[in-house]
Amino acid sequence: MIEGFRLYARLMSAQIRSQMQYKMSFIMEFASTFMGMILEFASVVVLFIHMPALDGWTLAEVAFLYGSAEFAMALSQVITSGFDVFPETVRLGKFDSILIRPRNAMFQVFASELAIRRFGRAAQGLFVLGIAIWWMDVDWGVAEWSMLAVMILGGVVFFAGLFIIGATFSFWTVEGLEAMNILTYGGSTMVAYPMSIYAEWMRNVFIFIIPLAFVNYYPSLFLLNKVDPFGLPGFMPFLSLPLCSLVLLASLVFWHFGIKRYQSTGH
Amino acid sequence: MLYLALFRKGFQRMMAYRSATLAGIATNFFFGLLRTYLFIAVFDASGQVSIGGFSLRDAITFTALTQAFGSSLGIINWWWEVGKTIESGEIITDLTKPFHYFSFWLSRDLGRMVFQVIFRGLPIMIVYPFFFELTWPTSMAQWLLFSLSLSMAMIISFCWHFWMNCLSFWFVNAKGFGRFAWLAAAFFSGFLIPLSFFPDWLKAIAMWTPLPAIINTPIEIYLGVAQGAALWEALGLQLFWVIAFTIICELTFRAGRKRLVIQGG
Repeated sequence: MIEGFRLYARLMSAQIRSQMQYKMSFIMEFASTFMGMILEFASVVVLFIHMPALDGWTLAEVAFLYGSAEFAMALSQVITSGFDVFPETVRLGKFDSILIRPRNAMFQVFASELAIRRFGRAAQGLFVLGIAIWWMDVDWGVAEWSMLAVMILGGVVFFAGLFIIGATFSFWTVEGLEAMNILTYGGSTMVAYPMSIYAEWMRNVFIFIIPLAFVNYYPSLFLLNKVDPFGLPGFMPFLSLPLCSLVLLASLVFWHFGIKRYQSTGH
Repeated sequence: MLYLALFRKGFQRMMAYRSATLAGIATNFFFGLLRTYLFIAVFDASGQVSIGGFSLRDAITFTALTQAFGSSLGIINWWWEVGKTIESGEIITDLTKPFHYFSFWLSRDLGRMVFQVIFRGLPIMIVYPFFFELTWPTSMAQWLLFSLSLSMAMIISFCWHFWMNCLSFWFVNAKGFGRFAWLAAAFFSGFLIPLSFFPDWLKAIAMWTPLPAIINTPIEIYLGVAQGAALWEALGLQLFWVIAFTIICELTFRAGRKRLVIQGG
């Protein structure tokens, strides 16, 4: 286990060093994504010119949702970049060489890539989240700050599960599952705003079937002292990490199911 | 004719990506749902029936139109075909071929755009009314003006992409600029929210760029928000950008081509 961590750290530092050879390229990609995504948030700010609050949520509170959703999703995307290039690996027949190495296949895919250029979007999320917390002038104790950390962790774990599930489809379709964008990009956009603005059927799907609302909405109700508009039990915010972990667990099960059915495309 | 054939090829090429088209429609529609409920909540919270000349129904139609035509008009998807060939040096084989470079890519990309208007745009406009009531053009003339405006928007969108791609002649890291240009276009074209929702100073900044002519103009014509003199002014401005931006692209390309140095061969 410890050796695994050490190996992972080594591979990742090699990744970072090699990508940092093109430092200007990294800076440009980082800065352009960061500034470009800030403009997306600017559109939310513009909407608040026309209203005092969105369904009872102030701009700072919506920024809190928006920033935490973006940060968790984008960070997860960086961490799981190996799975992002996985469909390509399968298509080119390179997965065979992964299978014959004396290491867990999933570990190798996980450690095969770290797309640091994607940090721009994560930085944007963290920036908006930071401003929101500063602006709300919160008076949080250890419990609240821990809740925030657990909430972000839950979000990262949730989206990582989705990215892995999407990549696993390439065992069958060779292309990965593009429709997964609905849940990853669409999901993080959905929870950038309070769940109460959506139609009832959408809310029910993303609370009870896919635990998207637990990525940040329920923990935020607790952190921002809001009453649950759907009248669900008070322990809901604390289910965040367990439910998000279930998604990751499901992705691992699915991966093992897929790998057993893997047929090489040849080389 | 060569360019017509290229147009057809651009169109046919898209047919190979059937599952991608389906996934794209589903994703665009889901985003449409999210954006619609956001606007419903915004109108609800504002306590107004009209914001910047948009009724709630107009705003919902705005989300339908942007989700339907956003990929065709290059706001949802970015295009780096020319930049790639400049970076790799492959552009040299295209330059030795006997065609007009700008028109070559324009015809190909128009083929893609028209394909996406039909197979990504129309399905969304057909599905939407099952969920929400939409605003429709009230006369044949309005439909025609919208089609005209949409066609000009396609050319301006292509110019925007082509021009950004040409920066690769000068900068090794032009792709970063390109990414920013793409993300900025979503905001300043009036794709994310209508320009009428902007404060005046911000709208004024946007109006100095060709970006509103890609999204905001066709949509305001479709909805009937732009009428009378304002409508003709908007169309005139679009025509101006079609001509001016084509010239700018051609000049930029010529200047860039002179700088091109290809190693080996």
